[in-house]
Order: sequence, then structure tokens, then C-alpha cells
Amino acid sequence: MFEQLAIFTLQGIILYQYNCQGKKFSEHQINAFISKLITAPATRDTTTAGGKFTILNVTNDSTLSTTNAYSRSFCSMFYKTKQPEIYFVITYAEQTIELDKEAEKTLDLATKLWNSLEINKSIQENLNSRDHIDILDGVNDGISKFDQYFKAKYEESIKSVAFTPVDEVPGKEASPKTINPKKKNQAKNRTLNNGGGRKWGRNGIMEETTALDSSVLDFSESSNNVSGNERTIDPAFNKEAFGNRTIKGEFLIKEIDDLLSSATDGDSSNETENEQTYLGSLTSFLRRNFTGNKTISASDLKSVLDKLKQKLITKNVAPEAATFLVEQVSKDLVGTKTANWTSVEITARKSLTKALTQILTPGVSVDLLHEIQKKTSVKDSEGKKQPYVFSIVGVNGVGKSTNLSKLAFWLLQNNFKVLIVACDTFRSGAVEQLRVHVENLAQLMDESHVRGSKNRRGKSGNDYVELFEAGYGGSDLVTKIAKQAIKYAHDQDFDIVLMDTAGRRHNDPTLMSPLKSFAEQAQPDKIIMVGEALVGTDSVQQAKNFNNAFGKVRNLDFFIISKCDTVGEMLGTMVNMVYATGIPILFVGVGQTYTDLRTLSIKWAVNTLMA
Amino acid sequence: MTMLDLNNAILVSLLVIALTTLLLFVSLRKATTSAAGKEGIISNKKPIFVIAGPSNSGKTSLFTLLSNNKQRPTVTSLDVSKLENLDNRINVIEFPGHFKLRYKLIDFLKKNPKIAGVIYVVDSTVDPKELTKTAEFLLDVLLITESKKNMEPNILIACNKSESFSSRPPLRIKEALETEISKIIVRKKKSIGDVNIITQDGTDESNELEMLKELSSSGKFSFNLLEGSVDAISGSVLKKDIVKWQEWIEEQL
Repeated sequence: MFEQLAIFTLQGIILYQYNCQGKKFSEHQINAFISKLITAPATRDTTTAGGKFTILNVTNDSTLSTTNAYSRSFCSMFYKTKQPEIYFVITYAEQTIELDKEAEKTLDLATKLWNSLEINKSIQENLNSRDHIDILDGVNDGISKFDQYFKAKYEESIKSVAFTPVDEVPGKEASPKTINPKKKNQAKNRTLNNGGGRKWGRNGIMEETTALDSSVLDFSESSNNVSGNERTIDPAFNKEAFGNRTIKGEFLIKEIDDLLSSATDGDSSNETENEQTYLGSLTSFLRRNFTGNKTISASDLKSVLDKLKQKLITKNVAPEAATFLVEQVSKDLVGTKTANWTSVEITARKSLTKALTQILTPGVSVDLLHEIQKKTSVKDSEGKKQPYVFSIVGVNGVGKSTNLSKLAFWLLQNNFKVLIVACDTFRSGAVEQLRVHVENLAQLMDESHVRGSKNRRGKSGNDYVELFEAGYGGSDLVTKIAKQAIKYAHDQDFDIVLMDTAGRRHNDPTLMSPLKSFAEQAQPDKIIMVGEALVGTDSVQQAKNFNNAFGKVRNLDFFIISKCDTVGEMLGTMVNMVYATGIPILFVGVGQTYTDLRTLSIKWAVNTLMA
Repeated sequence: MTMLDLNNAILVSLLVIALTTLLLFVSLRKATTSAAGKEGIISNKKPIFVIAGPSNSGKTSLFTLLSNNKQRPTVTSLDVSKLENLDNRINVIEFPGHFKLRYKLIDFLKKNPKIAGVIYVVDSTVDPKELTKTAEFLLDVLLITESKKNMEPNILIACNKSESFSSRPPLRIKEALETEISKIIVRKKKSIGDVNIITQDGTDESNELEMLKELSSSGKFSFNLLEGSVDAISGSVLKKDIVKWQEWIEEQL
């Protein structure tokens, strides 16, 4: 059973809404879908059904939905048309094979109906018009017809599901041939009465879709023919029609079937330009490179995009991510016109800049200080606060401990008490390395601090920063330390707990699996992955594997990209990691000292990548 | 040979003709639906009003109400809506409020020097204590508009949804926003600097820090410190009660 069907524009106007369960239509659900759609990673695990529709599982992950009033998880299938850009979304409770199939059929039905009623054309005109007319100006007829047809058809399909196991949507059988041009021509000299020759067969005899048939059966132009009282009734037509139908609903459904079988596939906006002559190719060349105002075709873009893609790859962007980005550009540009005096190349560069900005921009604002203050300001009955817990993960040698100390330094500067926890119980020297950092930080906070001395609790460090250690051991020791450390921090009134974990190879399940139980036991507020800018193509997989390592309910919260000072302009790793997971980069490491931590400036990153 | 020469001659002349006609053609023709047109570029010189604000505050509804006095159900916008030459006097552009799409507004504000006013739509039913995100967004906008020389646009805090029983009075919202912005400025000053600074790339960032210092010079942020005026006025898109906002727009002309 489906929940809702919505058709809406990019500008946020709902064109059509339908709650399949007869309840009040909930915009919140659609908003949750949209929010997921824009924040989900580019490589979201979507499956495309029938090559046309995309499935998107909207889960309620607390990290992404801060303002969302919609808290239930659901599954959705959507389709987007191009000109105008309209989304068709259908939502249902959960993803099962049958429901997916059903959804696909229903969505197919909706898009076909929509196309056959030619609503899009008027909407596109309204959108482009400069007279501030309503977007639905002149399409209300079409939409009410759509509503009527869709509901009838939908209810029929539900009924037939109950009776027969296989429900065929008639529109599917009719091959979506390119009969559009013919149809348009014939539409002009069509009259209202030519529906007279129709026969209503019980089992769909109107299957063959010749050009003539399609024009006869297409009601999109003769808008008054079907619905309402204004219908002009042809006697012959009447006799046969009324003879066969039993209830109004069934009659309607046959009409819809005919409409559907005559419908062509919607996106037939390919403008082919007649540029066979010398002059034609000349103007095309000029327009492409100098004067602008050219309708961009896929072939125009190809060489330009190949160049841009190569460039991205030289900047260390993984081929996978680079391909995705240029595809975005191609989707953005094909069919549009270049501005005056702008070459295709400049337009493509602009569009790529946009795509890069879009991908790197985080989905939610992260104000760490605010979140820390919020959490630590809540006191329990004993007047104690829960510490804010960070844990830091990553591959070996990317700079986890270094960046942890940088983070600690910044937090110390903001007058927080920091407990650094040595959860790397595996690599020899890991604890000692952290101790050196703690000594350094303690000295920076208090010049009188004597290196190697113990504080009043008998631990390394001083009142501001302290090391929590428990030696070396197996992975069960890690979770034990983590839990103890949090309890200790709570008792000793620390604001922040920073956990360093052992570096691990992302493609080794035996090393990755302990992360899940670690996250479940320690419940860190933020899980940070450190990735090094040097790594290159493998970063896609690294980010993916680490993001998936914490189980279904937990994700990484953000990245720190280290060693950015060592790569110059080759910042591709940033793009790769965000592309793979949709998780933002919060900080970048730009040097060896404690102050060499910066927030990422997206403008800077994009400009460097495009330079 | 002669044929070829002839052909070449024809080609050259064709080229000349083509070039001249094209130049004429292009210079006469107005850019209609260009790829760049999507970015919110406005061709006429009428004053521009920007509708901004957090998600779910009623921007798109306000926009449709302004454009054709209609009410439509809306969902989160994914793209910019433009209204050129409304009543032959003004342009209105509405930007999506989702965090991921805010860069569109920021880019637009940076590129367009002439903005007559910013209509910042706020959901007045939100608890003043929960206004942090709203204030954050508003501060981002202010940091750009205030850095423009001589052209600081006035700002209307349009407290929407006044029809709801849980809506707060506009003055209360304004005060709450001031308090929140003060806190955010304090945090921003403590935050880790932008990577820009070390690369000496843009002057933007240091500007922002300067601005932040300026805005909090007296210890607490107040809208009075701004060059442009800030008015908080309640209204309701749902009840079509936007007369006061329209009056505000009139005043800016």
C-alpha cells in the first residue's frame, strides 16, 4: 500500500498531491524526502527501477534531520522530468520487491498520464512567462483530469491486485514509439467528434497504436471532451460506449487506457538543429566558441567535458567522482542555451563550479561550540554534566593523533577541560605518543607545568588536560577503556572526551568490525574520520567503508582532511570523500603545529580545484 | 581548380556575411532562457527584493501570494524563484532555505550590488530559544549586506504565521534574534579560522572577522549597529495578511 503521491516543481510548488490512504496529505513527508535527496551522498545506495525511476530510502538519521518534524522512516521512488523540472514522488512504508514493483507501475502510470495530458508544456510556458501568471494557469483542467484518471486507474489496479496476481498496466504494452511529430500535426485538424469510431472492447482491443489511432484516442487537445457536463455527445459514440460500460468508473478507465496507449515518452525535447550546410556549421562553430546563444547538445559538450574531467583527475579527484561531476554538468546544460558572448566551455566551467560547490557544501550547519555548550550545560541531579565525546578514526598514519591534539588545543583555548583517551591499545608507542602531546598541551596551557609530572589525580597532564590510559591489549579492552573514560570524565567534571583509536585498514573486515561495537558502547557525540589529502583514488573506498562500519544507525559526522599543505592544488581527496558519503569536511590540517587546523572554505577549495 | 577557387570565394564571402548578420542578430536579441538565466540574473534595472529565511517559514507561499495573489501548497524549494517587473516596479527573488542550498543566496548577494531590501521570513511560532539556526542564517546574510559600501539594504524580519495561537510578537522575536546573534558572534570569534587566511587568497575572510568585531563592539549585538534599518513586522501568508509587509516594500522604493 502506498502512502502518498506528489508532483512538484523545483521551486517548491506542489502541482498535484494525493494521499493513497485517504488521509490528509502530509507535506512533511515530502519535505523529509527532499531533504534526504539533497543531503544524500552522490553514490547513495539507490537502485534504479526499470532504468527510469530512482528509489530513495528515507531513514530517520538524527544527524541529518535537525528541523524535521517527520520522524518515521519510509521508502520513496521518484522520477524527474527535465523541461520543466518536475519531480514525481511516490512514498511507501518500506522497501519490498512487490511494493517496488507496484510503485514502479503507479509512477509509470502517473508520468504517462501526465505526459499524455500535455500539462508540462503549459507549465513550462507559465514558468518562462514574464507576466507573473500562476504556474497552474490554464492547466487546472488538465490536472483535474489527471486527478480523476489517476484515482480511477489507481483504484482499479488495487482491485485487480486483489483478484489477479499479475496486474498489467496497459500503457506499458504500447511501445513508446516516437510518434510525437505526427501526433502534433494531426492534433491541429482534429475535431471533437472524431471519437465516434471507437469500440470498447472488453479486453483492450485498442492495442495497436498507429499514428491515426493515437490521434483519435488522444484527448489531450480536446480538453472538454471527457470530463464534466460539457462533453459533446456524438450519438454513435454514445450508443456503443454506454452499451458496454457498467459503471462510470469502468468507462473512465477505458478512456485512460486509450490515453495511455497513445502517450509517448515524455522527454522528447531534443532539439535537433539543421546544421548540415557550410553556413550552418560555421554559425554553430561561432556560437559555440564566441557569440554564445547556442542550444547545447551532448556532442558540443563532449570534448569540453573530457577536458574538464582530465583536469579534475590531475587534481587527484577519483575518476568515479570526476565522471559523476561531469555528468552533473551534462545534465545541467544539455538542452539549455549559452548566454550571449559565452562559449560552451565557459558555460561548462561555470556549471562545474556549481556542481563542486553543491557537493562540498554540508547539508547541515555544524556549530561545534554551540553543541558542546548545549550538552555540557545540562546538569544531572548531582550537579554534574555529561562530557561531549569525540572519537577519531582513520587509516594508519593519516594523522589521527596529531589532529586530535590540534582539536584539543582549540578546545582548550575555549576554556574547556579536555580528557584525552588512548584507545589505541594496539600499536606500540601509541600511548606514549599521546602522552607527549598531553605534556605539550599542558605546558601551553600552564607554563609552570613540569613535563612528566603527575597532576593531583595522579595522571599525566594538569588541570586543563589529562591523559586517560590503560595500556595495551585486544579490542575488548578498547570498549572497556572508552566506557571507563567517559565515566571518569563525568565524575571529574571534564567537558570534552577525545578518543584516539587505532589506525586500521579500511578493507579488512576483522579490523573494521570492532568499530561497530565501539560506537554502540561509547556512544560518541561526534565520530570524526581523518583522511589524508595525499591518498588519491582510494579515498572514495576509505570513506565509504568507514562510514558503513558503524552499522545502520550511526554514521560518521565529519571529516578532517590532513596534510593539505603537502598537496598544493591537488585537493581531489576532499571531493572524493564527500562524494562517497555526503558527509561534510569540517576542518583541514595545514601544517605541523597545534594551530595549523582550519575550517574548510568551500570557495577556496572550489577555486583551487578549478584553477 | 577554378571550381575550387570559386568555392573558396563563396565560402569566404559567406563567412563575412554570416559574421555580420550574426553580430547583428546577437546584439539585437535578448537572452531568454540561457543557462546563466537560472542563476537569478535579472535583466531590468528595477529595484530587487530578496526573500530569504530558514526552511518551512513560508517563503515560497509568500512568493506565490506576491506574484499572483494565489495560495498553493508548497514543499521545500530546490531552486530559486524569480519575479521580474512585478507591477512594473520591482523584482522579487526567493531563495531556498535549506542549508545545502544557501550558497545560492550568498553568491547572489555577493554578486549583486543593488538590493533594495531583504525580506527575511521567520516562523513566529518557533520558540525564541530555538532560533539559533535562524539567527545564524540571518547573520550570514548581514555579514554580506553590511560589507557593501553605501548600499546596505534595509531588512524586514517578516514574522509569518501570526494566525497561529502560538506565534510570538515581532518585538520579542527581534530581541531573541539579537541575543542569539550576540552568542553566535562570540562563538565565531572563538572558532578555528578559515583556510583562506593562510593562503592569502581572498580578502573576504579577514573582512568578515573585522565585521564581527565591529558588530560586537559594544559587547552585545544590536540591530541598531547596522547601517541598514531592521524592522520586525508580523503577518500571515495563510490569511493573506501581508499588507504591512507590502507597505514596507513601498517605503523602500
